[in-house]
This record gives sequence, structure tokens and C-alpha cells, in this order.
Amino acid sequence: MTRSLLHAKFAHHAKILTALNTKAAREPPLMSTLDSLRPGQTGTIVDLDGDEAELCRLREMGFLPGAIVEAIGSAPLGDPLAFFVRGSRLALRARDARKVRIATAPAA
Amino acid sequence: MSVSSPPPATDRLKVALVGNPNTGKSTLFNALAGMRARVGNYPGVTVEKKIARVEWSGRPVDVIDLPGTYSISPRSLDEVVSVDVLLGQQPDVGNIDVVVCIVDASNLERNFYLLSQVLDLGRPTVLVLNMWDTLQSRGLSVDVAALSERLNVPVVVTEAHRKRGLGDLRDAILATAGSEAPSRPRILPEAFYEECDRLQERLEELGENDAPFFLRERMLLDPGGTIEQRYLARANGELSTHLHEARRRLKDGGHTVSNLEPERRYQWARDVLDRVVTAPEQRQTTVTDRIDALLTHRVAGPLILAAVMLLVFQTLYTWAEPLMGACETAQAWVGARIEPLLAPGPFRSLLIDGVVAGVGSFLIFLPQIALLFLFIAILEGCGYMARAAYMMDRLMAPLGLSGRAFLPLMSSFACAVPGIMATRVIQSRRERMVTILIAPLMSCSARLPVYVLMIGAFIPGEIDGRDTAWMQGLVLFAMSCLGLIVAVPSAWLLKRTFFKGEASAFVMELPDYRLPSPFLVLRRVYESSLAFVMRAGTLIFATTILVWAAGYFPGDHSRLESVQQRIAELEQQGESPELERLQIEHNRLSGSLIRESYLGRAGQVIEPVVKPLGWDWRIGVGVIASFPAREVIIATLGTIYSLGGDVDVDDEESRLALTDAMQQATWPDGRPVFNIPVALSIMVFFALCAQCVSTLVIMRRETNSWRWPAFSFVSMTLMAYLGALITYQVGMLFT
Repeated sequence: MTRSLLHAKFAHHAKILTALNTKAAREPPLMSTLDSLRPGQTGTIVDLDGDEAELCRLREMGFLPGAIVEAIGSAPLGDPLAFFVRGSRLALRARDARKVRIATAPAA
Repeated sequence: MSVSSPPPATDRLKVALVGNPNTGKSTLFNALAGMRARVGNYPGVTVEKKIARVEWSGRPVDVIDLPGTYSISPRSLDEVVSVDVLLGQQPDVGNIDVVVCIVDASNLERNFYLLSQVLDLGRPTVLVLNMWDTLQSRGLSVDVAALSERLNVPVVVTEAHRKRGLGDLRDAILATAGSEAPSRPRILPEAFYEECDRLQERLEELGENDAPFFLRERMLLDPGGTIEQRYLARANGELSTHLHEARRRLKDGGHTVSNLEPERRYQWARDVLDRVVTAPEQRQTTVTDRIDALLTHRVAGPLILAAVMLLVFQTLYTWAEPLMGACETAQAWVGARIEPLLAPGPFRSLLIDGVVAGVGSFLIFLPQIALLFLFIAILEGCGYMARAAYMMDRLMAPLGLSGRAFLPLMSSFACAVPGIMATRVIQSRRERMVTILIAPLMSCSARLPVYVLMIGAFIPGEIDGRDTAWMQGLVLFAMSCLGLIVAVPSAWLLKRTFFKGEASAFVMELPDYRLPSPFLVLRRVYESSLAFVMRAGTLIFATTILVWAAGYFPGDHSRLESVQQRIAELEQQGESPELERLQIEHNRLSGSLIRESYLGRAGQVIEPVVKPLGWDWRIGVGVIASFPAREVIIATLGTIYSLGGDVDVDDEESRLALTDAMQQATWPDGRPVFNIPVALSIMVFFALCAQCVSTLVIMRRETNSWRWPAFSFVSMTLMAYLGALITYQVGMLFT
């Protein structure tokens, strides 16, 4: 990755983080991955990390940096997990959800 | 650009429907098409071709329904068909006049991803906001006029399941036909469009003058994609270098190809929808959320799923039974009507033993298929199927399959034919193929008669006065599980060999619950039944005739026929010793005729091959003759053991007669043919073999190629042979 691109990426993340910061009374947001969201909790996607071929389907379905995701719950056996994103209810396997990095507001 | 081929001689208007899954697209298509839809296949792929020929305001129109998809970036040969149709490059469809993009009105942002790709096709387009009622119930509102203006595309609001808005849609389509295509929105960065133009020049230099904008866009955006491969195969290596450099230039400019499209398209969707859609601040808890809380509940969810599955299979086994019985009765009735009309001879035998029995042997599946598709249509239509897949996914994942494969595989325990047809619910082609190939391994109900016969005859129910019925149960259970056990490594292997591919993330939509449309449900039952009868019927029928002929010729049947004539005459007068003598004579004659037939000779030729399995030529003949359907082996064994062809395992008396005959059968040196290892080896063979024409023919239909049924037959027969060999050889060590 070129320097300029890295820079652009950081700037983008910083923007999201700042936005979250102001909302959550300037407390630093918690960084985690999508699979760690508890049902009812929401998070903002920061980044996707993994093999390009695996990620393209996630991106097409709207899992993109900046998107807000709400966890709905999990299937009875604990996997897959269900999320609400851009108005749709989507199921993801935990191993794919782990590729989505999110920022959550710290618990009140 | 020479995108559009010259208009066809007929002035039929061609309208293609595209949209995300679960947007009510099929409902809309059926509402537009009425009963005029024709279903077929596009050549060479597994994609269904649905075209309805209708007439609107005196104008003949072809409405083409394309498979539901979230994106028209083609990843497989199946997906490329939709793109070819839309661009007018599918020769059997022709040029498309209007593209109708159907979106879920209550979920515009996600649906607009597809719309933005559709607009890049550069065809006259109509946008349909379907499920307007759901949008209203969610407290959303859309400014339709503003949306239409921003997109520069006519926008129509419909509620397809209530048939509302259809007139407006038809008018909009007719008005749009022949008009100028809307200008493509400049969604992607300027640098990208420059690269598209540069690619165009390069392609022209290479002699490729027919690369529409959409395809050039795809070549740049999908590295290694189907479109790139298509053009690379036609052009020389220079194109590959050009694409590589173009993507590099874009990357240097800060645009990574993989990120570019989704980010820009979703951004565009947000911009277009800004202030056009107003949504409530907080997402409201919907009915769907409340139903899901119960139906996917940790404890209640699996219990309800088990109850639903139990109901489906109870139905397939028990409700279908009287219908299947009716089929058999009808078959016997028709046979009995024909019998007195014709003199005994090859023609009568062909009609009764070949045609009527042949048609009957596949029509018998029809009740099961109709019932299974009734359930599938209801479960899919109401949204429960996605939840079942969601709950079962964890169990299917180790096989390399997803939860979607669960129902087709479960159905295959009743019969692989409806099971394979049910794989249409699986969207991923690779996964669908693996499921189709392992479905015939599930222990279907046609294996049961074979198991019952063999277990009853050779697995003792009692040893030294002690009840050992549990052993019979155990063997039956083991045979029923054997296929499933073999299916696990088979699926694993198939996923790693023939159906390898990049492991794309598994994303499945859980749509809102809604009442399924009764019309759509019945339509699906009708279509699947018709497809089965029309396409499978002819081939299954032909095979049955072939096997009949092999068993009939070249013997001289005149003596048998005169005996039959005598029996018919004597039967009128009631029981008599003469009649009994003639029955025995009849059975002896038909037994010797099949021995001398081509089928019998084939059995004797293959005896050396089946001998290591502990089989004699008679079992060999039975196995060959049971190619049309597994349970045929019982009737064939009955014929060979001179019992006449009518052995029914449900009929105690005839089963005991066959059991006796088998127990007494000996090798020329006097050793009994059948013992426990032989019985087990036959059962293992039938558990793993592909002796079922209906399954193979359905496989051909669903995969649209003979390659896979041939592969399936060869590999399963090989597995069956090896399994039977091991069973017999190991079994003999213990006797």
C-alpha cells in the first residue's frame, strides 16, 4: 500500500472516531470486531480485514466503513450471528464477522 | 457503440425484470404474466429461463424474469447469463427494450446498490418500488416525484401481492420503450471513466469492437472475473497487461479496485436518497422481530424447526402414500384394461410391462414432488426457510455447505428426486452442485424394500430361542446411516476438488415474515410437477423400455403366451389343479426366458466381476435390471427364481416365497448362494449405488449437463462395488 493511501485510510478512521468521540462525551470508543457485539448493541464499521475475495461479498451487502450495525442475536447453536445493517437483517458466520472491525461507544 | 444488435424481425417488446431476492419480484412477474409464463433453461447453465408472452394495449410483449440477485457483477457462468440477457447478447432472447429494476421500498439503500449497476447498463430503465405497504407500516416515506427526477428514470409504486400499481407499471414500460436510455450516473471517480475509455481504445486496437461500457467497467472492477476471462480468451496477452496496468494506475491514484465500487455505489445511494426518504429516528421493533424472538429462540427455535420438519416428512411418507397407492392402482387398472384388448405377444408385453409399468414407475414420484414443493413454496414465501437455514448452518458448515442445503438433503431421505429439485433454494452454484451430488447417498424410501427383503431372509430374528430382533433393527439402522456417513467425506472432497473456489463470506438475508401468495405457491407446485413429468418422464420412460427389451428379447415367448392364454381361460372357472399346474409352468417358462434374454446373458457375462462380492449371475442380473429403480431388483429376483414377476414385499406370502427360493439357491457345487455376508454386501451395494434413472435424469435437468449424472453414476457405482466387496470379504472372515 502506498503512503498516500495509508494516510487516507487513517484520516478516514480518525473522522469516524472523532464523530464517535463527540457523541460519547469524549470517551475513547472501544475497538472490537463485529462478532463481539451483544444483542441490541450497535457499532460503527471501521475497517474490513481479510482476503479480498472473502470481503467482496460483505462489501456488496453493505458492510462498509462508516455503516452502523446493530446486533440482533445468534442462531441457537451460537453461529451464525444476525445483524441489522442498512435496513436489512443479515446473517454472518462468526468467522466472517471477525473480519469486520468496529468501534462501539463505551457503555454508560 | 454497437451494443444493440439489430432489432428482431418481430416487433415484440422485450422487458427484463431484475431485483434483489425477497423484493416480491416473482410475485410481480406472475402478476404481469398471468398463466402465460414458460419455464426453460438457458443453454449450458443451470439458470432458469422464465419468459411470459403477453399483450399490453395491443402490443405484444415478452416479459423475462431474471434470477434474484444482490449484484450483477458476474462471478460464475450462471450469473453471466443475466448480464448477457440485459445487454442483449443472449441470442435466444434478443435485444432488451426496457429493464425493470424492482426494489423493496422499505429498504432502498441496500437495493440501490443493484440499481446503480443496472443504470450503468445504459438501457431504458423503469424503477419499481414494490412492497409500498411495508414501507408505510414502518413509518417511512419516499418522495417518489423527487426520486424520479434525481434518477432521471420513471418510478412506479406497486404492491404486487395485492396486484396494485400494475396498470401504472405497464403504462410506464410502454412509455419508456424506444426512449433514450438515462445517462449513466457518474458514480465512480473520473480517473476510472478515463480508464474505461482507454480500455475501449485498446480493445478496438485488438480487434474487439463489441465491448459495451458495462463490460469494460466489469473487466476493470473484477480482477480475474468472468467477463475479464471471456475477453482474455479472445484477445491476446496484451489485454491482460493493459488491465493490470490500468488497475495499477488507479491504485496509484488512491483508488483500490476492490473498495472502489461498493464504497462509491453506497455513497451514491445515500446521496440520491438524502431528503427523498424520511425514516423514523429509532428503528422500530417490527412484527418480524417479535416472531424471530420465538422462531429462532435458543430452545423453542430448534423444537419448532424439528416439529415443522416432522410434519413435512410425515406428509411425504404418509399423505403421499394413498396418492402413490392411487398411482399404482391406476397403473394396474390401465394394464388390466389393455390386457384383454390385445393378443399376448411382444406388443402387449411392451405396452403393459414396458410402457404402463415404465410410466407408472416415475409417475409414482409425482405426489411426493408436488407435496414437497407445496411445503417449500410456503416456507420460502413466508420467510421461514431462511430461518431454518440460519439455525442449521452450524451443522452444515463442517461439510463445506450452508444451512440452505439442509432441507434438500432431508428431503432426499424420502426420495432424491424431489430433494435434488429442492436444491434450487441454494443460491451458491458450487454449494448447490455438491448438494445435488451427495443427495442420492441419503437413504431414500426405494432402498427400504431391498433392506426389508434381505434382512427378513438372512438376518435371524431369533438365535437358539433368544429374541434377536434388535439385530435386524440394527442392520436396518446401519444401512440407513451408511449413505449419510459416506456423504460427509464425499462433500468434503467435492468442495476441495471440483467445486473449489475462493471462500467468499457467507451472507444470508433474513427477510421480513409475510403471508405467502397462494397463487405463487400453487404456481410453484404446478411448475415443478410439470417440469418433472415433461422432462424427466420422456427419458425415464425410454430407459425403462430399453431394460424391458433387454429382458424380453431374443427369447421365443410363444409357449409362455399360450400358457398365459390357458390361465386366463381357466381363471374364469375358478381354482383348479390344472390352473395351479399352469401357474407353475408359467413361472418356470418366464424364469428360463429371462435367463436366455440379453439381460440374462449380460448377468452371466458379469458373473466374474460380481463373484468377489459373493454374488452369482442371478444377483448380477437383478442389479443390472434394477438400473431404472432400485426396488426393481425384487421383481427381477422373483422372475429369475421362477415366481413370476409379481413379488411385493408388503405381501407376506410372496415375500416368503422369494425368501425360500433365495435361501435354497445354490452355486453349481451345491454351496448356498446366500448367507449373511452376501445379504450384507447386497444391502451395502444398494445403499451406495446410483441405481435410479429418475435421479440421474433429474440431475441432468438441474445441472443442465450429462457430465454430472455420469460422474455420479460412475463414482457411486464404484463406491458401492468397493463397499460391497469389503463387506463380503470381511464378513467371510467371521463365518
